[in-house]
Amino acid sequence: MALGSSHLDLPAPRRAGTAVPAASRRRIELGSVLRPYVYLLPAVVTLGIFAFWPLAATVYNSFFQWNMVSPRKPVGWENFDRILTDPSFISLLQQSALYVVLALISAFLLPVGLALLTMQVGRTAGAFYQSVLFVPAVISSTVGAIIWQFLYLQRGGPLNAALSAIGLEPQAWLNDPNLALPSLGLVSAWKFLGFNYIIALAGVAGLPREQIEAARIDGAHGWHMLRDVILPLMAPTLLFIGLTAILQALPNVFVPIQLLTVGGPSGSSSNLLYAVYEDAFKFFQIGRSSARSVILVLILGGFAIWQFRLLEKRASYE
Amino acid sequence: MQEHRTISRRAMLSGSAALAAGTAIGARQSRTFAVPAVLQGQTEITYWHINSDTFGGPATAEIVANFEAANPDIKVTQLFQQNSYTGLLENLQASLVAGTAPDIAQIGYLFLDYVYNNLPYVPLDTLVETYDSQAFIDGFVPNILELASTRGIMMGTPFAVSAPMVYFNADLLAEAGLDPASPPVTTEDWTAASAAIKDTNGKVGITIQLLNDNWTLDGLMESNGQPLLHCGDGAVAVFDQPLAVEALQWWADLCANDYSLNVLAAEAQPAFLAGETAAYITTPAQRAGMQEQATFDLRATQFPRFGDNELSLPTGGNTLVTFSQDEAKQEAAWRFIQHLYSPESMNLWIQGTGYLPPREDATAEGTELAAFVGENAIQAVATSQVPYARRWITFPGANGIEAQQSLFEASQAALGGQKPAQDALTESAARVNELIAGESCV
Repeated sequence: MALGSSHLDLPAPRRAGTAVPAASRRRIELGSVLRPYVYLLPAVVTLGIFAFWPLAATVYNSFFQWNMVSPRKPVGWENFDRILTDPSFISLLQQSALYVVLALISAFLLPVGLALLTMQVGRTAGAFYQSVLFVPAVISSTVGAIIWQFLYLQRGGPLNAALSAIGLEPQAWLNDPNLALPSLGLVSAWKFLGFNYIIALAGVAGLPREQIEAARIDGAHGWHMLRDVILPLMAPTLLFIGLTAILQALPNVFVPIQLLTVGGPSGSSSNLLYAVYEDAFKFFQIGRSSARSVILVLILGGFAIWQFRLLEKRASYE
Repeated sequence: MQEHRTISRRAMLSGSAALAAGTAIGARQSRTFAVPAVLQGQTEITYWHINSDTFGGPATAEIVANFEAANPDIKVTQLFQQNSYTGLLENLQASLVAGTAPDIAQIGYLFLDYVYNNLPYVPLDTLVETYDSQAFIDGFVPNILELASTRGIMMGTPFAVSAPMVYFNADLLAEAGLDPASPPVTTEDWTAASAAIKDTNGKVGITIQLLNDNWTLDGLMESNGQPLLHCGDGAVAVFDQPLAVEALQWWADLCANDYSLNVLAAEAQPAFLAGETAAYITTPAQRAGMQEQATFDLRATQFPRFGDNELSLPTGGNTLVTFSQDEAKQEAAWRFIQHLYSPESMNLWIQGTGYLPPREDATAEGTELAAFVGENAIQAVATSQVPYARRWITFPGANGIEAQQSLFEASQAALGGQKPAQDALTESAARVNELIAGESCV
């Protein structure tokens, strides 16, 4: 059925020899053309207000020095220049990349792996694992971060107590610049693994049984079954989980950073997104924060487009 | 072919109605229905503070309740702001843009210059003149009143006044063979005591509050004879000079030897109350909460001295700044502010926190507070440091907060052993001087 037409569009059958008036014909055609846009309008308006307009405003503000209260002062490309030439920019990039790698492991590989394993166990055990793994997802990020603050206590914390019990040195989980970032990554992993696990589980459960059986009959099993049959069939789900894991890597770790380390020690647990927040709400440099946001959008947006093109070719749709 | 279960329109509508009704009933039962203040003929004002349940919150609530009882024409909504003065300032800035700014807010002394330069406050002189309140102002301790000014402008009235001091666990000191009645006085004394404590019971000796406001670091550096800034033609960062470096290096050496915990304040105070560190340098404003929660013999002593140097301690706390532009709200706000300083309110406030009284009449002879200060040994230590209290150094200008962050990160690098104190402070001083170039001291 062509876009814009439906069986309701057709006028009542006319007797042979009678013509549809031109005005009516034009109204009908206009209605058919406009109808889909009217249906899309609420979504477009919502996106426009909450996504596109703020994005445009951010790009605009990036060319000013502004603290939200005093008048804007135009500074051209100065904000971008300061960010890109700041020695901390490279370390922020590296730290952001590290958060993304940790997110790929914890919010992509692990959930998918656990979903595949869950399908191998019985129904009761499967339901149990689903519940246990999903519990952190329903706990608020703030509460979760506070729980982990207690676990990470340098003195008297359970983790260090466990290390001491087995003869290992207690660690400064949040205060050692080499450990703070992975410690925060672990908090984020604990919180968001369950949600992606449920999505992966749905993807696995939706696999066509006939094709898997046919492959099994043809002799595929174990690693070959996984690599050549199951994963390609799961490609749309994997694309979704992988892409969201990457794009949500930095936002997901924001609350733990803010509550546990405020980007320290010495900026070692910060990332590009947290730096956007600091510029805006700690240093009241909205222009610089906006410029940093633009840079971040370009990096993540470019990556998302590249990934989509790369993986979509391999995604198999029924 | 799979059968599709459908929901009838009637079932959908009834279910939605039931859900909506249930939500409404639940909401109705979950909170008391309040008649809006405006419908009761009251003027409603908003007061933002940083006083949590364990840090002056109950005292604040009681003071507000007393005010409302005595002033039925005014309703005060008091709101706690997370993350101390930094968090309050962040929220304040956003609220001013949104048009929902509070009428009164506790502004940390460190941020007065920023508010002066950027936010639409009501100067104290305007309020005093409008409401003929000079007698009220004359009741403040003069050098304390001066803390609420910047660049010659009185921003508000000083409300919370404190200087960092040492709380210590007398039980742990005694276990280590030290005399709690004669606690360590100098930095050398504390190093030796920490060694004894570590050797005896494996605990940490003395932990120092670490926050991105550099309050305690400022106290250490100036008490060793080196201010953070040199104020000549312009402000110049000089915290990379030897005496300042020595102060930070002392702290870093404590951490390196496990004599001090290198953790943020949110972890340090629980560690002290759990008996993991024998002493903790922080604000006297935590006194009430600490005395309530400590399960050991809690005592206090003055901030560590460097040899024979006299202490020079940054005054922490806040100024009550008015942001009301509406005349009726401004008047209501001013009445509430004066109530906050009444002897009864000061009694609740000082006993409920540990701050120092900013007014002379609060501890006049015969007052309940005067008796309390005389009896509470920890409050007495806080009071004994008043002669050493001076203005908290502010990095001036629009980039002042960023300059402060740079010093904080340098201190973290030194405390964590990533860099010697000299290197960390030299780099930071260069960065700070770029950020405050052309600015004058405030």
